[in-house]
Amino acid sequence: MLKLSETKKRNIKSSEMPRSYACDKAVRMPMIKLQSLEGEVFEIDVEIARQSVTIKTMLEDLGVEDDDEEPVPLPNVNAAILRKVIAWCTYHKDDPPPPEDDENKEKRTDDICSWDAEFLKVDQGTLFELILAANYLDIKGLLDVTCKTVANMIKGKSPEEIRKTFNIKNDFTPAEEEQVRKENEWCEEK
Amino acid sequence: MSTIKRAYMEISNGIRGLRFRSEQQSQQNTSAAQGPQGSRETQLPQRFNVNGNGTMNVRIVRSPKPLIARKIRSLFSKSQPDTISELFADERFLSKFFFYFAPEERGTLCQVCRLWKNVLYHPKFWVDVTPIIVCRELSRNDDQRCRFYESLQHRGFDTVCLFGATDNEVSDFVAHFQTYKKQIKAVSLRCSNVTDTGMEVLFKKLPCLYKVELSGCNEITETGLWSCLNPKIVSLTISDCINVADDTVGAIAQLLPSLFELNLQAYHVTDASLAFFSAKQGYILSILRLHSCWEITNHGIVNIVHSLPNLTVLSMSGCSKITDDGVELIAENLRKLRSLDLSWCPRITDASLEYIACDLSQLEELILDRCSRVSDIGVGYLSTMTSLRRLFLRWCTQIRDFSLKHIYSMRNLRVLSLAGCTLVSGQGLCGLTQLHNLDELELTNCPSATREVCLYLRENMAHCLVVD
Repeated sequence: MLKLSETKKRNIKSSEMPRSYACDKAVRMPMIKLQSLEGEVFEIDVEIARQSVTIKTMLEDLGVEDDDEEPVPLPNVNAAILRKVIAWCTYHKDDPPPPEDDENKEKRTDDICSWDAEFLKVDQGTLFELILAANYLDIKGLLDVTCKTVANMIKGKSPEEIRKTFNIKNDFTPAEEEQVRKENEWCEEK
Repeated sequence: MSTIKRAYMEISNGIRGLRFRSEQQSQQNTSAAQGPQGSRETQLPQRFNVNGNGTMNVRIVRSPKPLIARKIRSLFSKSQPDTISELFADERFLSKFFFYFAPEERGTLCQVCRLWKNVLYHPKFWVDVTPIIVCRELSRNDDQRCRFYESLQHRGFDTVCLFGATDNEVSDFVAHFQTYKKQIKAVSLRCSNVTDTGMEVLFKKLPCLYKVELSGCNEITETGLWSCLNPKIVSLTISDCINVADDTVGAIAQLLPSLFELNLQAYHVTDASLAFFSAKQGYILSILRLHSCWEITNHGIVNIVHSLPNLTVLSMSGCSKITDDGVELIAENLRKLRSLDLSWCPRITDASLEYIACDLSQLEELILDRCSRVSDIGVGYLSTMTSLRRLFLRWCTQIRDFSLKHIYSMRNLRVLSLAGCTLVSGQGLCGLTQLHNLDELELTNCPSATREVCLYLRENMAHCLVVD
């Protein structure tokens, strides 16, 4: 691992190089290392990693240098899930940035592309881990598509079934439960 | 030393109020390399216990820029949900997650647990939703009813529909909404026995009402309307109320100067009443729908074009006495029309379509359902209209493939319906793939819209919804 003082000794003028990537090789894809919960390190292209807003903000604010051998620790994500997240980000690296979505608008759930649908044909546990990882790393596209999948999963289920799915305790009294049910028996869209 | 390491230093500094010297780092590196997977917490200081006996040397060192340090702290030390139960109990996440459900589905989600209900009982999730209160199913228990109305207020509904209401129920409803009376902007009364008294209570006690619908209320009389209608009303819909006739239109004309939209379905309204509209209404009234007003003839249209020259939407659906002369008047005088509905007017012929094509240059929507005398020649006239976006030719049984050839050139069409057109052929339908901008195509009850034809259409028009 290089210390800061050593980099200054090199004869590279920073004005000649792209801002964060001072290096002494001719052409090299800027890479970043990510470390999973168990300590396994994944080296990926910085452009792919920047789909995670968390990582992107860190890179921009810190101006992390390319020859920085230190991996970014992600203690909340295990290796299997991190691998899947990287696979998703790699496939979607050329996607246009998601539009600034209107926070208060209903979103469709029937427009998941076929690759994503295949990618998310996993057991419920893995799906939930993916949604947690996407939330932690703030990857909008992955969070969007996992939320849609989970939403489709619970549409049409009864409240008790939904509670079982997410391990939520029913904290209504019987009277309250009846009241809420009556309050929601109607509905019509304009 | 790497920037990341130094940043972690800063977090540790911040937490313990101490600072490290850079020499400490080399020793810490070895221990950090061995043991970062110790815990999943975001508490970082544990990784930097240096000496075996747990003590560390403290010296003052220049720290990284405060802004960067603050960012790192917020990025990695923010509390993030670790498990799925935590995630689905996190209000911020739930507020976004619930938008993936339609409003009907959110009703079930409210019943899962208290936290979900509290998140969902917020006006933003109930925009554009109208609760239909079936009055006879309302609880007899005062307390329960009170809580029910409270839940409606809580969710910020501004439109309410009362189904099967009586005067008492209307009074009860209004009484419960007294504190929130400014919230209700639109009311709809359907299939109700409300009398004039009940209606008066409703209008007087809800001061911000601007949109009203009265549907199937047979106890309401014209006298009642004279006393109830107030100038704030912008949109009025009256349908299937047996006592409504010319006098009502008179009341509307006198009492509602700001009226923008009027939907009237009344069997006893005659031509003369359409002359009652005032000059001010002539400026403002934009949408007029006269559904199944059988008594209206071309004379009525003369009155309409004189008193309401600024109409953008006109529907004469079911006004079966209208003929081509009437349509000629509409076309010559209502140049601002964007939508025209002539469905169920069986006397309309191709001549009408010629007038429409010549004069209504801003027309975007044309509905000709059940106009059985419309033929290929008429459609030929329509094909010259570049502004037309939506065309409905349901059950125009004289339409043949020749019409379709005209339709192929209407490149701006977005919605087309040929339901019930029995004489078009499958091959003709397949040619519709030339309409690249088509979003919706309706082919129900078309004998030639076989499965093969529909499949072909769906494959070649990927973003078009083909309804069969």
